[in-house]
Amino acid sequence: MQIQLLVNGTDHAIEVHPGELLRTALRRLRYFSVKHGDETGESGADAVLLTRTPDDPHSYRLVNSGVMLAAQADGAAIVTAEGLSSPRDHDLHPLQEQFVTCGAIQCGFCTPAQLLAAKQLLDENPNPTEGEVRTALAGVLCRCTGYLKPVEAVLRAAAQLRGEELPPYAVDIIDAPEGWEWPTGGDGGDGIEPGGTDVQTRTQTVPVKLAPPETAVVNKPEPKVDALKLVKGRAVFADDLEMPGMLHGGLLTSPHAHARIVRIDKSKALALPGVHAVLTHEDVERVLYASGGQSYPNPPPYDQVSLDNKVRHVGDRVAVVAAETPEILQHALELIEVEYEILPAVFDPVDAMQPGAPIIHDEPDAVKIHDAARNMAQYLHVNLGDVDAALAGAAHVYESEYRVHQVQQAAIEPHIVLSWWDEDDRLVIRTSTQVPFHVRRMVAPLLGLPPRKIRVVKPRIGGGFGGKQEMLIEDLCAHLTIATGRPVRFEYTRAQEFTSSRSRHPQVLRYRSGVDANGKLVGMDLTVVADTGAYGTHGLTVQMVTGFRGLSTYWLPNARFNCDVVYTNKPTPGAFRGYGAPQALFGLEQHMEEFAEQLGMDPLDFKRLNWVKVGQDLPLAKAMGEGREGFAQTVRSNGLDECVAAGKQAVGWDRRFDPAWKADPARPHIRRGIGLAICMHGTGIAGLDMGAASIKLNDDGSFNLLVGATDLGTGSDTVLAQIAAETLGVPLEQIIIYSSDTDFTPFDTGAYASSTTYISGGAVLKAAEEVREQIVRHAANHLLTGMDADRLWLEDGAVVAPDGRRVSLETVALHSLHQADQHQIMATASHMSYISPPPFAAQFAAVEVDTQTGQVTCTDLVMAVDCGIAINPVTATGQVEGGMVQALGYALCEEMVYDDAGRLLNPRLGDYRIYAADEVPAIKAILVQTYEPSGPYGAKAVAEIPMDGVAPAVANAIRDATGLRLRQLPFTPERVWSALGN
Amino acid sequence: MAILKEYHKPTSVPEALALLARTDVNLVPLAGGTRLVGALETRTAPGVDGVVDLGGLPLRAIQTAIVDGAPCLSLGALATLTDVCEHEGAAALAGGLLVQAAQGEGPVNLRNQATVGGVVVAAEQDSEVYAALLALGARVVTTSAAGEMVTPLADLGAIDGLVTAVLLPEAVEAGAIARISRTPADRPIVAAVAVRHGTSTRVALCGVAARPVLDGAPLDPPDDYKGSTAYRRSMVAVLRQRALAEVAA
Repeated sequence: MQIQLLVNGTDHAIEVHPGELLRTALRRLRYFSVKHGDETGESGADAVLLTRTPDDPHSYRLVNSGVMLAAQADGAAIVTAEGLSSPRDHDLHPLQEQFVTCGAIQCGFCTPAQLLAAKQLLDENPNPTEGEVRTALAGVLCRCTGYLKPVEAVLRAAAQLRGEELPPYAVDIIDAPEGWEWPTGGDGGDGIEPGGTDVQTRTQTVPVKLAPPETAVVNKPEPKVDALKLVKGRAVFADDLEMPGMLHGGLLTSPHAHARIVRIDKSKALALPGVHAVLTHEDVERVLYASGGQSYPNPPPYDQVSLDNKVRHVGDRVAVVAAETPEILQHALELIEVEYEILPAVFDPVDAMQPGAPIIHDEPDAVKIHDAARNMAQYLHVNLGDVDAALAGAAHVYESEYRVHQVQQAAIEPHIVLSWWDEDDRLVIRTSTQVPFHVRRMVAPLLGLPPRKIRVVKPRIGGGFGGKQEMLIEDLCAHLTIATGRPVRFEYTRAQEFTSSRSRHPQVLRYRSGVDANGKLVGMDLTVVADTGAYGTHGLTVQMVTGFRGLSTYWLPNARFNCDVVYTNKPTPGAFRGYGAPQALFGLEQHMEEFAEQLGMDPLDFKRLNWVKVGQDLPLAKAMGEGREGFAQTVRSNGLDECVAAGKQAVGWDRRFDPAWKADPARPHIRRGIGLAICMHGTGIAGLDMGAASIKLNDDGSFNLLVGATDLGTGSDTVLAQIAAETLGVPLEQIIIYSSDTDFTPFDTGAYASSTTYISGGAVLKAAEEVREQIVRHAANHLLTGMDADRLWLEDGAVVAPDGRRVSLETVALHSLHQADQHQIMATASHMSYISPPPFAAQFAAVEVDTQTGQVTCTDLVMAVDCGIAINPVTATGQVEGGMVQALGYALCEEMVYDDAGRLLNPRLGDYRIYAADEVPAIKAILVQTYEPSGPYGAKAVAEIPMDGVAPAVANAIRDATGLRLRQLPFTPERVWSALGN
Repeated sequence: MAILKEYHKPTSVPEALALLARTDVNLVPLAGGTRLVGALETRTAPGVDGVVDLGGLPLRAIQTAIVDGAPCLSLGALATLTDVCEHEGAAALAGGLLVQAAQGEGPVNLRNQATVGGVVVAAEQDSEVYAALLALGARVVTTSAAGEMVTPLADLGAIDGLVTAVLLPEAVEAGAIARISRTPADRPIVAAVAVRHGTSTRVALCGVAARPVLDGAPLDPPDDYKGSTAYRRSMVAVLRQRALAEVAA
């Protein structure tokens, strides 16, 4: 049937079939800003403005084009993000302008829908309150920002549209006075901001810093280098590409938790017109691998194959299909007949280790499973000193146990891959990945191709959070291209994101520690049982980080870590921002407080006495590498004391001691409390993570910066370009950064382990320094004759001599390329570090506990973080804000829940609740800047640490409010209500 | 992936009823689509051959009507929840109860699509709008081949034909919602919706039966990851008391 759509003022007549969605129809019309976030309308990434009376500008309404049939919209007028302004860079709607200015864009996948939601609001209400802005944005889920900066952007755009003068959007940077007196932000009062939905953005980010470096670009709030294309909704994501003859690929998943495939009949599916391939374990070579995107050689076990004759969890791979349309694909998947021999399944890791439990990996060819007969993927044992003797001799010993659950990364962009044969018969894989170089190396043997025949392209990524640190579906898409010879697009549904992707490892953690008579820790024993689901992937390394974080945040002369990493018939956990640390700290930060209470010490004093200090070693760093031995570490920067002081003031810590605040006479069932957690993370994996960068001078004095590092929305392209610009003495727009493509950019391990700023940034710094050297040498030889090259420097786009002579970079470039001593000024550098300097943070949470219902409402989250020097304070605070909100979901509402047969009960957003714009607490990020001598321009990491401390801070706040000690996540109303003695 | 053979957009109720009565194909009514289209996309609405889009029917008006000789507020079945919130009379009922309840139903993009009729037909156990309609004493107009019928929402069983309107009293003094949810804007685990007019009060409950029910009806609470049967049962008294206290104030 044919329908008419008026989109952004252009009339379209388009042929649709009866079940076609408005979303897919709009994307077929190349309005690629309309995104697929899910199938059931909760993500709102597909939202557009729609009306049937286009002459009335107030009649437009925000609707989700993914839960509307195209036929329903016949005759309607629609506005998409492409319609907000003309395609050119310089033309921006005030909303777009403010989203760029405020750093409201991280991955940018939900940005087009957020802009439209805001536009509808401002069209109706030119002077909205913050609460009204939050309500307007509530139906567009964002997993990156925590919503603070988008809300600020909308409020500023409203003011701009009203014709008001706007103050510049700059994050205040306050220099610390001499003598380590650390200023804190706010109005000079007590630092307590009133709460409530209308004032949340008044709690501005307050960076505090010591010894400011003299920089022009670094440490400045530069707009993100990819912001313009994202705010314009341009076709930049993996799916935003049309290929002639492209087929649609999809996965048939297992309905059973544990079964053998006895028979697969694909004849009916193959007979369906438009079906080009159906592949099962009978069609694809059996090559064992581990899917975690990690350095060579990948940590064991190798317990996966592309398609197997056995399924090990509901959602496991059974068969793949390529067909001409999504509808034929779906129909074909349903026509595949599979006969299963259903096997007993096991869902609890402790049960799984018992004799007689079903053996999940009984295949004889799996490699390096620790003890397959007991379902033990790995067993980790690390020992420092003599814990037993230390605890036997301790003045006091305390032991406690904690349980953490399974949660999902829930990036708004699902996993999506396009693959095709190029004109040189090489396989191109365009994929939403954090690890393009690992993907190429890992997928090659599965496809029977040498890596040189494969090119992996990483376009813009719609969020990853570790979920895309996998070679997850690239093999399946590529198998279909190889089988059909055609381009194939392969995407997960939202349900498959939950059942067939990755998640966070559930664990049971038991801490046992002892102190001397002064309260100094003398030893700690950590025992963990971890659930790695059906496959090993990141099972070894995540759990090793749990051990390292659990046993390194506080300095220990004796420590022991024992961990069983156990298979169960559940969807597989993997990498998820924090990578074992959130689990460890949920236990540790309560264990320390409980121990302090038992000792009669103030918990904060007890922690301060024991946390690692500058100059101290991290002895376990050597024993606990990721999949191999690591390297000893010494702490060289630590702003933890200052973080605690700044955070205490910001959160209003002293309210803990005010009975009038803790109990609300108007609401007698409410109790209030504030909790704290100390966090320490890593910065890249020492001796393992490596990044490389190439920098090339162009005719006009601009530079191409080519990096293998993978910006998945965090802003790392911007940060890396800032490092290059600073070093080369040019403004940011003179750096043209490109990431990442295995054909065109040098290697990088990828975006994980909080490594990009420090490791890849170190490579950019080296390459820029080398290019700078080449520039000044050429200038000294030819253009500033008589001047020693060592005395020249780069500034404001020119080579400058001490005698005041200057020659522009353009002149140097033209001269070196065309006129004399011709050569390309260019350098490639690599960086690897044996140092992994820990960022530190103090995480605070304030809560209200409803003692009659058990409902916990978090009212404030404050994180003061020492990330070294923030290369970009706006993107750094954006990481902190968004991370805290994700982590709050871990504490309160996110949970993968199963029935007795191992079927996930909530495989959709909404049922799996992530925070929306209108319900987040007041959030505040404070950058307490130290100078890390080993980092580029003093930087350490910031990406993961915001994930680590919220859950224990909330737990400690609930304790403060009610006296309850809750040792199991998440704190759902019923769990808290039960703990309250009901 | 929605696989449909047919799409129809009738312009009159009899035409729609005739399409829905066809026995050669299974056609289902489509209102806003927020629930059905998602179900079709995720293949959880099996056996649907096609849809009858009700969007062409003249059922979107919100107006005062005289039914059985008494004036009332008639919400057309295809009025969206946003239409209700933007209608002066509907938005003012019981101190803004429907506006508050609509927020519990979902965010603005959902409210722009979801319809009054859809809420009644879906009868989701955690629908605060449904509970608010119950508490307000809503009556449902259904139209079938046999003609029009008006049934109190509380007595509504299997629907014969189409829901064409929901009738509400013209004026109600006060309303309040007390709820428990995982996050502030999440759908409720349990909620109590209270309405007061003069000295008479009425309470409806979410999350304690297969659909929202009037307080006093037999409870059969779900038992799921959001709350056990026992928890939900225990919360009724707490929330009822809170909602009633608020409407009394």
